Amino acid sequence: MRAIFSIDGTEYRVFAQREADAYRVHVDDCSYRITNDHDAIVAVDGDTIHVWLDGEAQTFRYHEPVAYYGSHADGSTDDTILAPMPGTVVTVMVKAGEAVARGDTLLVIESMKLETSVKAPRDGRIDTVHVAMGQSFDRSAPLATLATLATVEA
Amino acid sequence: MTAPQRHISAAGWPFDTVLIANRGEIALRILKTVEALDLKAVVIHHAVDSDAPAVRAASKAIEIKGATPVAAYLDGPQIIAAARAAGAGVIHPGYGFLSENAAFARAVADAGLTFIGPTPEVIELMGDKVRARAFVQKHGFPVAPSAIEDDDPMTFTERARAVGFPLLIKPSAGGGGKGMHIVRDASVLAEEIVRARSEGQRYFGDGRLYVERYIENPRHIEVQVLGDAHGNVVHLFERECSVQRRFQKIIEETPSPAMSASERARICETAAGIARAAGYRNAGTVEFIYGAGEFYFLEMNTRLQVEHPVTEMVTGIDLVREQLRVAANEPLGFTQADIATQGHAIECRIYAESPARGFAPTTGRALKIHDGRGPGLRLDIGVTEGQAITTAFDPMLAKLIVHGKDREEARQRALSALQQFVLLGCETNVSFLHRLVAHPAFREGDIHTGFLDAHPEIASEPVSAATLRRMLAIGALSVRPVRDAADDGPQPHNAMGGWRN
Repeated sequence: MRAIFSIDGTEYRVFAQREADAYRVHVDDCSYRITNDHDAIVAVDGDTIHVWLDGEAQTFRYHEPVAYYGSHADGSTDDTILAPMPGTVVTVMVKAGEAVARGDTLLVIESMKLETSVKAPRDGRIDTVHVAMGQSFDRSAPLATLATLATVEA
Repeated sequence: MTAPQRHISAAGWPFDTVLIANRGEIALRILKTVEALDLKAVVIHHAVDSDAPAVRAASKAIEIKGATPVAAYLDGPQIIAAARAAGAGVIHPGYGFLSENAAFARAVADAGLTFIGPTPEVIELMGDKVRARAFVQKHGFPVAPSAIEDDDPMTFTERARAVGFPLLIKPSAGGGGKGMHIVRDASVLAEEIVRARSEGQRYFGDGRLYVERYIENPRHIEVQVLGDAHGNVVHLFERECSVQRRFQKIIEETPSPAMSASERARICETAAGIARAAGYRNAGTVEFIYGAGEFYFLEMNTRLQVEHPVTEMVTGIDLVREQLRVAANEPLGFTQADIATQGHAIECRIYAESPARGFAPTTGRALKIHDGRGPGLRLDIGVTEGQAITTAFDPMLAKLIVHGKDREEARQRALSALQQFVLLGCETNVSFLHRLVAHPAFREGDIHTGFLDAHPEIASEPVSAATLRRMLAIGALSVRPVRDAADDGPQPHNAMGGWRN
């Protein structure tokens, strides 16, 4: 089975094979022969893989197949609104259980001395608000989760 | 060292312990000089910084507390109490935090300790931008020509015309660029004033205006000055800091590629003259706006600057050492004629931020740090492996400084050092800095404060898809399930050796 990695929302399917003195790594439709004398530097932090090569650094996320396929089956990953950048919560406009329409402001966050409204990506019902007023958060931290469409219809 | 420097023996200092009231790279940088002078260094720190390099390196570290980490570093009474408890006779504030706080400087003196910086009166004067500008003008130094309507409304249009073109009309009550008009021709001045007045009225409920000379694509030039308590003032030449984002400097260099020898002499003499008029003591920086052969006073920073290392590289003078000597009431160890510069130095500020996302700050943990090697390279770094990078403080992580025999050699050394510098675990601006220093316009020295707006591709250029896939191919082999699947698959005849996980 191919492993799934992503960077900024773009997914890559990866698998590796052993060769005599190298690995053959397939990334989507391309393949690379990776020997152990490459100049890259890799740091792994849980499911996050940081790679430095020739002056560039990139961060990839590894998706556990079970969690990945599980979450895509019920669509819940798309329903959690993640912080676009690190910051602080200025105002929380919604409560759990509340119905929202696409474009409604859910919360206002402050980052780089600028206030930004976080809006509902679709119609739905608020399942959880993950942050409180005054709380600070990192980039990609969950801010709010919308109930799945199935739950709303039920 | 190009300048002769007098040495004070350890016993000659009026203090034996220096309290460093700062954090990050500057705390470590100050600590290095303090210890090189056989003085003791005490570093204060908030709990979030307990793993920081300066805290680890210091013989004594004192934890300070606060509602937020920043509040702790701004808590003057707590810091003075720490200095007393540690037996420190002198407090070095670094830059930012309390470094330009006159009340703190006064409180330090009242506690019987020495604040490293000018007198509280000079900090106050230069901290008030309107007073500072008036002071500089009164002493006959250049400020941007301007006219204020309130001074005499009847003659405003004539006085505005006398400022010269292009000029900028601003609402007196304004801010954020609203109601500002650039006027390039005298024939439209009157109608532009009417328009700006109506906009000022609309936006701010106040139609009063002022105008000042507008400089197109200006450059930011600043001059390092140093004064002692005996009335001696010297300058240590200029730095150009024109490449900025959101009014924060990214790259600084000396000498400026834009100035002729006579302009350089004139701007440096002007800065020394302003410092002399103010009775300036310790290290300071006079900032100017420069364009079309003219320069005007912008402001004076009454502290050590972030970018001081480029001056140290070309003059061979350790500015922190001179700050300590001045604080010890020693006269400057050199005259203006003793100070010479050699070669060219460039500093690149490494920030935890994402240039492609509008320079938004980034967070993470410094998992791996590899500093490059090379001739003429100095790295002032404030983080160590394992340390969390949060938004609690300014996003600057390190400064990469290079020295070369000329600008091109320094530039090549900067490119090589940026290419080698590794920080994994938090997105940084390093590859952006590399693109910036490699850019043809930067190579030609064709820079101004709007440089990054004029060349947005430097910030946004993505890594090529092929490079990204190759990086992923290498990184994927560090993921256990990917590696195990490969190792468990059909095996070739030859066993593999040397692979590490």
